[in-house]
Amino acid sequence: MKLLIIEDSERLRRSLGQGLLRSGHTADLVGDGEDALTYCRSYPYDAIVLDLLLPGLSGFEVLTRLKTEKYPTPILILSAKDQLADRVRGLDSGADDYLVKPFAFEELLARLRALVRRYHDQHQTPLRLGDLEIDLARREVRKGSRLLPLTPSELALLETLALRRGRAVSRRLLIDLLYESKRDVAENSLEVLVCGLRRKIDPGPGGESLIKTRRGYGYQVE
Amino acid sequence: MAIRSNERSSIRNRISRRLSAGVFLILLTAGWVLDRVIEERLEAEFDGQLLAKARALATLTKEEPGPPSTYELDFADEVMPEFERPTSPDYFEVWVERDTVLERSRSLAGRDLQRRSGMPAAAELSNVVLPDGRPGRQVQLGFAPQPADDEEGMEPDHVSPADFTATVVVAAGRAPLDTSLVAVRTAAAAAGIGILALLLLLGWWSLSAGFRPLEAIALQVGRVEARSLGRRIELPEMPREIAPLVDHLNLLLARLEEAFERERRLSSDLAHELRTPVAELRTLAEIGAAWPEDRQAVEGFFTDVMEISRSMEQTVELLLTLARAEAGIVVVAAEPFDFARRVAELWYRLEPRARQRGLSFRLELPASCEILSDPVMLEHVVLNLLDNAVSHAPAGDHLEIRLKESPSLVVFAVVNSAPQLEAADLPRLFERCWRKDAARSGNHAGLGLTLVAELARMLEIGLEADLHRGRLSLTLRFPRAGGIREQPWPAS
Repeated sequence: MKLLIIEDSERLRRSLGQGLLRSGHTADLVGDGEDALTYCRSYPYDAIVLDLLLPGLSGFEVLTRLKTEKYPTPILILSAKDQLADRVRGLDSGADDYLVKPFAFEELLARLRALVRRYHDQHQTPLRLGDLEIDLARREVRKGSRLLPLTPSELALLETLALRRGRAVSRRLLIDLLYESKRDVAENSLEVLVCGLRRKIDPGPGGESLIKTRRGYGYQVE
Repeated sequence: MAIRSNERSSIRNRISRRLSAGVFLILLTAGWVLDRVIEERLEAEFDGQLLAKARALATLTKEEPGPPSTYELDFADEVMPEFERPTSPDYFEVWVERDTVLERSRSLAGRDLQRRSGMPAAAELSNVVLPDGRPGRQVQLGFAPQPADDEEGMEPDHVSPADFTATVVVAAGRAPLDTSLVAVRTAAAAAGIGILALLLLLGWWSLSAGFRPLEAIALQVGRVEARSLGRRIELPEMPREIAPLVDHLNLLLARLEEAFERERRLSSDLAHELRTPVAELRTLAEIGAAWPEDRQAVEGFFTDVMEISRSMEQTVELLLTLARAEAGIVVVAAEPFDFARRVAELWYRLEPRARQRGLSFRLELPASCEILSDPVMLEHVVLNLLDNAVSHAPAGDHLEIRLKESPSLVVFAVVNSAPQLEAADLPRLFERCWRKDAARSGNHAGLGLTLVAELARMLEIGLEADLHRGRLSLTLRFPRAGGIREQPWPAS
């Protein structure tokens, strides 16, 4: 999952980023409302974590602006405001979920996964792709009863494509979703990654690859 | 807690009780006077009838002059049948020549009526016991019998009492008089009771009508809850007497609403102040525990934990001091000390942080400034003012710290730039957890200035906030040895 963390506490932002990275996700971290809008408008995300008390533009303002622009990505509010009125206001302003601080990191991850599943209309969990079983919570991929030794990047690629199954995903979007924004990505790193993944999940020489190449555009799984 | 009310203290009962006692006394007096008048009138009428009969008998008594005189009473039973009645008859007896019985009514059956000696000039009326034992009334009349040939006869009154030689006594039972009196008294008493009851009913009804607005107010006040403090008491018709009460209740509600609003804001702000660091700690702990092999990251976490706990400690300390100050636990203990030196010491503590943030400063202090106040509390005030300036001044700003004294007054001011602040923000500056950008700026809770305000109030120090061309000045102004109370401050 590619996430945008909008959180004004620098320490929390940092540790969240580290946790997400360790959990095999990619996250952009921003500390104020204005930056948050810029990032949302520039890069694609699977989900957004939004703090309410932000310097500059408040979380509610960010939320309202995004929703006026019909911004589709699910938004989870992560706030110390625990009053019923705040929670109702947050959800009614267009947020998809609300989590009160302090929170369990595990729960935040689970809620984000649920949001992303709904967003991509994938209600099956674990996800099944041909003879592959992708458990996004445990970060495991099985082929039959055999556990496949995927690297975190390969798993992220498989997850990204699987969540968008049936649709072609452009190379640009894939790079944006797999790497932190504003990071230099080598020209052929996506191809190398796809190649490595295919070798691990495909039936072997002669068989048809799960990941189809759309010439001049990108990749797709069925 | 339910208010204990008893029947005795009910306004309605009290008014009813007084009203009924008053009305009862008035009716009693009026009844007594009326009774006297009616009794007198009835008796006079009764006596008039007796007298008329006596006069008639006197007129009928004729004297045949010539020695010896003979007398004759030309009495006709059919004209005055009451003297012949078999039951409750009237009586008469006529004496001539002073003591000779000329005639007595048949009802006397030979007995005598009581007669007083002498020949009174006027008719004498008295209550007597009749020969048959009934209570009665009699009239005794002295007169001079008229000559038999005198057709017209002179009125006996026109004869001088000295010439009276005859006496007539007429007596009759009091029963008719007493019956009338009883009837009149019964009617009067019934009317009195009726009037009393009606008045009480009327009083009760008027009081109920009068109290209706109060009951309406009670009902509306009863519906006020913490969530519905926006409600105001409204009556369709506001009685003039109750309007001030309702006004004050509504003002009270407005103040309550404001206080609740402040508390609500505070609890939400406090939640933020305390939950955010806890969230930070928890996330650090969880991630550190999940991937302990990343030593570099975990070691970095410890630094974070240290910082977080330090800032939480500061927040908790401030909150505790505030709570104690507001609960009146802190006691002001005034003693003389050198304020200038204390300010210099405090600044010495904060100076490194100011330099770190690239702040320049000018410290204007007199050589010494002896004052009488609570040194510990005043130290908190000054430290928080300085700390506020150091924490919130934009990097590279110039701070001014001034202490000036006159023979009676001490003025301490801290001035720094506050580009984001507007004049409208000044009143909220001392509210707990208020901060201009509604989010933390630095690891610092927005409690410092609230504590300053609270302590200044306890120390009876004037605290002013001014904004002039983007420069915020916070000023303490107090008499050199003024008005420090040595008792615990009453809880507000």
